[in-house]
Formats: sequence, structure tokens, C-alpha cells
Amino acid sequence: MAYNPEDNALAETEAPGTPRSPEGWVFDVKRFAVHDGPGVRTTVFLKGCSLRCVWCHNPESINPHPELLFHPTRCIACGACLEVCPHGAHRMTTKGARTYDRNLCVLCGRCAASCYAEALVMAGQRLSVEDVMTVVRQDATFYTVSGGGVTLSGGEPLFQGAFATALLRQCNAEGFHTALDTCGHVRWAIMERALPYVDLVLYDLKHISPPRHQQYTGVSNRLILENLRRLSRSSVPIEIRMPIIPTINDSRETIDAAARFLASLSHIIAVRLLAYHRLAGSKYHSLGRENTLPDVTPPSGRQMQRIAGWIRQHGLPVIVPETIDTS
Amino acid sequence: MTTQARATAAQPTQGAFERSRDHLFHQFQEIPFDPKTGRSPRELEQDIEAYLQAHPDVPRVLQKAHVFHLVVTRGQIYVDPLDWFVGKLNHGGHVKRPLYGDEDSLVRRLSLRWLDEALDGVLAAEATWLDRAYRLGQASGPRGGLDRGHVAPGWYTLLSGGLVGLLTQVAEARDALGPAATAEQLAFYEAVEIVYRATLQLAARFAQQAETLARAYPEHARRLQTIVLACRNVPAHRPRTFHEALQFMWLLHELIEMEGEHVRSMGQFDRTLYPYYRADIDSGRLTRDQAKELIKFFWFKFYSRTRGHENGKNFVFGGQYPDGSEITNELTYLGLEAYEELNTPDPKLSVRFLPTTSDTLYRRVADLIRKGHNAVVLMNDVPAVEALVKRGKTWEDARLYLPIGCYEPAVEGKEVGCTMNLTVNLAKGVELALHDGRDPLSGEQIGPHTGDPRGFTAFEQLWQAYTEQMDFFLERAHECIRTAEGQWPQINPSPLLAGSLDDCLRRGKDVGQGGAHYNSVGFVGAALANASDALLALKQVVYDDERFTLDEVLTAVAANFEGHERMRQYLINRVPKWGNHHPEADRLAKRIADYYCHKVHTFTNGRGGPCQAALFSLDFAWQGGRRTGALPDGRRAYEPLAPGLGATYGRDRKGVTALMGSVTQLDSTLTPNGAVLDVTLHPTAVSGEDGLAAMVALIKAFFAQGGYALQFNIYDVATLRDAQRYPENYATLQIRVTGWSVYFTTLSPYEQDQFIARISHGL
Repeated sequence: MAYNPEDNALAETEAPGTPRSPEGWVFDVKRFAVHDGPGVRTTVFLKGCSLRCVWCHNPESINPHPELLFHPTRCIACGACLEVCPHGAHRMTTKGARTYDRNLCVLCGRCAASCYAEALVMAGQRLSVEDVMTVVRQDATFYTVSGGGVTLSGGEPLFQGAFATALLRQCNAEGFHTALDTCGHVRWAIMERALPYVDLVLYDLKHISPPRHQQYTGVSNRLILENLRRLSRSSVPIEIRMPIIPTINDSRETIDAAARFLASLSHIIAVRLLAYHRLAGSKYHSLGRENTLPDVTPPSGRQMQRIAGWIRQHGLPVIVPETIDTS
Repeated sequence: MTTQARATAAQPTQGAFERSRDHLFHQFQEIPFDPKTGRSPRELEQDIEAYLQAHPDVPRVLQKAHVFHLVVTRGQIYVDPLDWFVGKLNHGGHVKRPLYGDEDSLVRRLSLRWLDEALDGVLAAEATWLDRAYRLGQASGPRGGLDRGHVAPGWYTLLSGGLVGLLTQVAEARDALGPAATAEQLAFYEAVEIVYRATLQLAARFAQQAETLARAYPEHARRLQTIVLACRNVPAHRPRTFHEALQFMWLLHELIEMEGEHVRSMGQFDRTLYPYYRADIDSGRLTRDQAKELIKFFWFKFYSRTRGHENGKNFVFGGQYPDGSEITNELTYLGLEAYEELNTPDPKLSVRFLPTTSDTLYRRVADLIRKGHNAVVLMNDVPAVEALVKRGKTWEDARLYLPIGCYEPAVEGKEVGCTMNLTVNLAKGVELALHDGRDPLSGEQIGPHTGDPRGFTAFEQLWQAYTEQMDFFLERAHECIRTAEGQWPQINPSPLLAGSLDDCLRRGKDVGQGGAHYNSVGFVGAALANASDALLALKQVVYDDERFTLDEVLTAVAANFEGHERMRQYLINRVPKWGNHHPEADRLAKRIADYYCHKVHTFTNGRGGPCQAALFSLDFAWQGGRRTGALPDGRRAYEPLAPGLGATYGRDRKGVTALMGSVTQLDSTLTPNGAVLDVTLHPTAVSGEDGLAAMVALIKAFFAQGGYALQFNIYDVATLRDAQRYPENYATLQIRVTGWSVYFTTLSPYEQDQFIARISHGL
């Protein structure tokens, strides 16, 4: 993989498309996204991330290149994948179940193309800016009526910085509100380049403690916090997103330290708490990866409210997800 | 009412309804009719037979009126000292049959007898043809093709002058005709007079009984006295109070249903009742809370009778006056509050939205629905009104539309809509086109010979065969319905209903004779998604890509895809489906919708009025699905057809905005009889302030893009599974089945599983 460690992003020479017409690897374009910024939005999920958060809910977003997912419940055992695979990566067991050897797989995608039951699916498609905009434009009325727009997310959208910037620029040009959901772990220049086209930044803060951050995400938070400081000196509004994972980042000490840091910055319009859940386990399975999701109970509504209270004491507005009372 | 009487008119105290709720829940179970108050149903039956035997040649409208008179003036009555409204008459229709609801009243049984007679006699050929069509899944509809079940009485007309006012109109109309009046017209006028006078007598009987009870129950005397005063005024005259207005409506509802037509709309609640509410509040006679109590006593009657096992009584809110100004007022919000607190699936509400409707109403309705009170249909006035104007209504009249039944508009007080006269299976035409007019499930040749499709070399030929099959069916069905309408005056004369509708009195004609100002017949097109998905699959795989031959597909379809699973998966996953905002899929669905609506709009009904197209399915999705074989889009035989306007279950994979994107490609002004999209959302999508705003945005954007009407189901599968395990914790969890809601825990385990399977596709 052409990772540029100085950028903490994809090497721009390796990006698909051309500098004038950049393309990118996108693994989903989700319409009717309600919690990714204001109003009704379309969220574009770019592939690739320089972090390795153990609680990642989108493990298929980490590798920037397309990869193969297998959903066993959809398999109809027709054997088409066996026939088309040039490297024999697919086998049928004596019991009629399909097995797959990733070591033999070159990710050519032929099996996914021949799998009509969509048990084998390539996560990630190479798209141009125009490809993405074609989908984005379809919900224009919904954006207008709700004050919504487009959100770039992923993975880490700035991992494919040139493509992300081109997308944001085009959204701008067409009058769509833009939000960028980023973890901030890229070279500042890459973020800076995208900023003129961003109306709202959604900035993830996973752990305030540098060694804990390293432990759980694979990288230090030094660059992330530095970028956040720089960001807060520009004029773009910032919504901080804090995933709350019990026993890992929810102690009073940790929360207070994070809140103290955030309170020292300008342009932080809100802190949104995201409750951890464990529903993404099957995605790891589909990818053939080890499930790293921490085996902890998701935080209760009361815990979330308590944490919100701690943060509010620092003078920061906090948004906590609500549940609907249907009783 | 004298000042003194006004001052003593009682009002319900705070919480009165809740205290009486359990009691009221049983109000239609074994009603303790007092034998001293009149004759039993058995005795009335004898009276009726004796009358009919003695008067065999009297015109049926008069026979009906006399029978009505007999039952209403002689039948036993019951006044409940705990209730704020009266109306219990022992008309023979209060016996419960476990699966079928109430027995029919003695009056309605007369109409049913006449219907049976017609079906065996003069309508035998049509009835046979329609029965076969229903049996083979081409359509569903009422017996014999006569829709006796979808009207809205002229509530506004009834209340504004009372029955005395209408009796005056009868006299004036008769005088205006003078010697030119035919015997038929005179019989009609006489019938109206008989039933209206009988009704007034009934009110007097209730008043008297209430007075007697007031002496027996001094602790309830004030309420009973209020009822006495009310029954001495309504329905004879215009109501003087909000309570009287509700009492008027309740009594007429009971009597019109007893007479033989199902009352499907209770009118524009915040228009009809507003003047009475306003006057009471402004004069200090009534507080807002007291009004709410009265609404609850009133509305709970519908639920306590049906227990949620029928389709719900429709009350309309919002909308506009004939001059286009918006109705929404204090009573709108009070009604919604009462509805929320009552927490029952019956009545059900329709809320009409204008471009100027305030955010407050959008938010209020969205919030109600996301909290589980989902027996609500949201309607977009702009296309709804325009669609009616295109079918010949004036703008002023069209603005007064009411959804009848579940979804289908009719003009209040002026239209007899027959809105569910036929529900047509749009997908069956595909089956017939693929089999030269033979229905593959039954083997019967029911359509014209459109040729062996294996010989078609282009998609257009298949399209041609499809429209030919549908044309043939629609034309035949239309003829049957026209013939049935011709017999309407003989089958179900309805003088009580007719008197409330313009222009029956002026013309001296009953509803069945086309006396109303507007007379329509509704043709509902169901399974649009299935027809479209099936045809597109063939277009793509056979004609465009030549991936499979038609023979290969037909073989697979004939085998119900057994042994052809790979092809089936291809058909499902590799061909675009309706509901995903895909241009080609949307174009074809629109082509089918346009074809269907235009075809229906070429028909004139038996009473000289238009036929009106609709696009939805209601429970035909299941009934029709069981009678439709496998289709080339991968759907297996007997599986449900698509719900409403939306995608086939599980085929909408791009989310709700894409679904709406598809649906708003259709021209809503071509569906004057209604078009409804079911939207299923996960609770997290509509939680919090973000979620409420998103839900409102969905509604607004859908309407802004021309969408006709919406309804919602907001669930997660985990909650429903939990409700299956622990029903006692979910007694009031309502689900939106189709045009109505039910309590989830009242469904059978099979039905519950079906619903869960259905909605988990959308999540």
C-alpha cells in the first residue's frame, strides 16, 4: 500500500485519476444520514485510514483499496466463484460450504462480479467526483428543506486528501453545505488545503492521554491535538465527536482533561457523545479479520448523561443521543 | 337554550374519561337494553316481515324507509348514566360474531337480502365474472361490484340546519318540481321525510329515557339533564354547543351505518366542529380540558366497538376552506392531543398539509407518529386538490375533500365516491401477457390471446401484450360495475344518507340514482412495483442484454425458481428495482402508472360520473399476493405484493430519500382517488431534535417534490421481538398495517413474524 508516513495519508502519486480529475476509493454513499451534521445529509464514506482504533465500526474502511467481503448467510452455494477465480482462492468443503483463502486472493473482483446472491461483495469502488455528485444531487430538495448537505467521512476522508478536497470544492460550487468528519491525523497542509470548502468540521477526539491514545488507536494524539488547535484558529465551526467506550475513555479524569483542553479552544460549537456499540462484529467476520471490538457493555443513558454533565461544567455545550420513549 | 339552561348544562370534570374508560371499553358488549323501552330485535323482525308482506309493491326506497322507521321508533334503547352521549338502539346489529364483527342491523339485512336477490338474478352474470376475477387474483372488490361501503355523509350540511332544516328543503324541493315530479321522486322525498322524522322521534325517546334515568340516578342527574336538553335540540336543529354537535354526529353515524352504508369519514374535525367549540370556549361554557374529555368519550366509542379489529374511523385535520385559506386552528391541536392521550388505533387520523402549513403542525404530527401513534396519514393538498379538479370538480369543492376509508378523497357533502369499487392487480397483467392470456396458477384462460411471448423480438411487443391484457380486464370490470350501479336503487336505497348530500334533495334522487352532485367510482391500482420490476427484468435480461432467453425465464418462473436460484438472484440483484431512484426503473413504473390512470380516466360510471384512479394496495398486497404466481423479477409465487406505492419488500436498498425520489417521479395529479407511500424508519433515525427535524424534512421534501400521501412505521426489530416474548409490556404498541393500525400484540404469531420480516427489510 502506498502510504506516505509524512502525510499520514495515501501517497498522492498513488491516488487514482489525475491531479486535474482526481478519483477516489469510496465504500458507501449513504443518503438520508441524519446524525452526520445538520439536517438531512448524504454521507460519502472514503476508504483508507491511518488509525487502527480497536473499536472501529467500519473495519472495511481502513484499507484504502477495494477488498472482498463475504456474507455467509447469502451464499446459495452455486459455485460460480470457484469457476471464475484464476487463483483457486475459493473452495467448497465436503459439506457444501464455501471457504476462502485470502492468501491466494489478488482482489481482482471477478468472484464478486459473478456472485449474483451478493454473498461476495467488493467493499470499495473507484469513483470520480462526478460519480459522487450524481448521487449527491438527487437529494437537493431534502437538503434545502432541512438545512442539510453533504458529509465526507470514512475511514479518514483526508487519507485521500486530493480527492476529498476536489469533492468538497465541487459541493461548494454547487451550493451544497459541506461537513468533514475527520480524526485529524494528517499533515496539516492536507487539512488546510480542504478547509476553504468546509462549512462544518466534525472532529473526533478518541482519547486525551497520549499513551492511551497510542494503545487504542495505534498512533499518538499529538498531531491530532495540534491540528485541532490550528483548526480552532481558523473560522470554521467545529463539532467535537467523542466516542464513549466504558473502561477505556470514560473515567472522570479522562473526560475532565479532554474538556479542559477543548474549553481552551475557540469555535467549538458543541461536543457530541457517541455511545459505543458492538453490532459491527459481523463486519470483521465478513472481512476475515480478527474482531478487535472491546468486550465491554455499551454505556447506559444515565452514564452518558453523567459524562455530559462533567463536560458541561467546563462551559461546553454537549449533545447526547436520545432514545425515544414509546411507553 | 335559555340562559338558565345554559348555565346548568354540565361538563365533564377533569379525568372523567379515564375514570370511565374501563366501563366504556365494554359499552358495546351485551348492552343492557331495557325491554320496557321497546320491542326486541326478534319482535322487530316479525314486524318487518309483516310490513313487507303487506306492501310488496311499494317502491323499495319507501320499504327501506318504513323498515327504518319501525326499528327506530319501536326498538329498545339504552341510556348509559355514565356516558356523555346516547345512541344505543337495539337494531339487531349488536351481536358479536367472533371473526366478523357485528351482525348486520335489521335494516341493513334488508339491503343484503336485496343484494343477494340481485346477485342471483339480474346481476348473476356480472357477479360470476367478478367472483372469478377476485378468486384468481386479478382484483378484489365488493360483492357484485357495488361499493356500499365508502361514503362521507354531509356532516356540515347536517349540522348547519339540523334535520328540521333538511325537512324544509325536502318540502321546498318537492314544491319546486311541482306537477312535473315523477312518482319515483315523490317516493324518494317521502322516504327522506319518513326516516328523518323517525330519527327525530328517536332523539325524543332518548331524551325521555334520560329524564327517567336522571330521577333514578341523582348522582348523574346533571349529566343526564344535559343529555335531555341535547336530545331535545339535536339532531332536529343546529347544535348549540360542542357537546350537542358531537352528540348529533354520533347519532347520525349510528343511524347511517344501520341504514346500510359504511360511514368511512367523520369529516373535517377542525372545520365542522370549530364554530361550536369556539362559541363554547368564548362564552365560558366549556374549557379546553373539558372539550378534550368530551372528544375522548366520543372517539372511544369507535375503538370500544371495533377493538382495533376493523379499519378505523377516519377523522380529518388541517386542510383548507373553499377559498383556499387554511383551516388549522386550536381544535386541530386539541384533537391531536386527545388522540395522543387516548392511544388507540381507532379512530385514525388524516392530516392535510398545505405549502403554508406551519412547522408547528408538521412537528406535532411527526412527533406523534415517532412516539408510536401512527394511525395517521399525511396528505399533500396541492396534488390532491388538483387531481380532483382534473376529474371535473371545481376548485372550491375540491378543497373540501375528505379521505374516505383509508386514503381515498371525496368532496364532503357533495360526492358519492365508491372509492374502493375495485382494486386491480397490476402484476397479474404481466402473468397473462407471458402466457397468452392464461392464468398460470389456475390454468384458466381469462385474458385475450396476445400471442406466445417467445415469439416476441422486442420489449415493445411485450408491453403491447401487457396493456392489451389490462385493457381487456379493466373494460370488462368497468362494464360489470356500471351494471351493478344500475341496480343500486333496488339494492340499497339510502334516504337518510341522501338527505345530507347535495344535490339529492334538489334533484329528488337517491344516492344510487346519481342524486349527488358528484358521483365517482374508484379503481385502485395495486402492485405497481411488481409489475414494473417484472417487466424491467425481462426488458433487461431478455431484450437488452440477452443474458437469458424468455424461454429460460419462463421455465424458471413455472418452476417457482426451484433449481434456478442463481438466475433468481441475478433477477433480484442485477436488475434495477423500483424504489431506488434508478432512472430506468422509475421510467418504466411511471409508464405503467400513466397508462393505468389514463385508462381508468376514460371510463364513465353508471351514474354518469368519472372513474378515478388510485395507486396503493392495502391488504390486497397479501390477498393478491397469494393469488399471483412467480414473477420474472425473482419474486416467488404466493409472496406478498408490494405495499402501497413503494418498493416490493426488501428491494428498496438506497434508503428513504431514494424511495421518495422514485415515487415522486409519478404524476400525483393522476391519482384523484389516492396514492400512499409507506415509510419504515428505524427509531434512531428519528430520535432527538435532529431526528424530529429529519422526519419533518422528509415529509416536506416529499410534498415539495409532488408526493401525494405518506404513512410511517417506526420500529426496530429488537423491540418487536421483545413484544412477542413479553406482550404484557407492549399492550399499547401500535403498528401501521396498511391503511390502518392495530395493536401488535393482538396479531397472531405468524402475522407478527410477517410484519417483522417486512420491516426488517427497510432497516
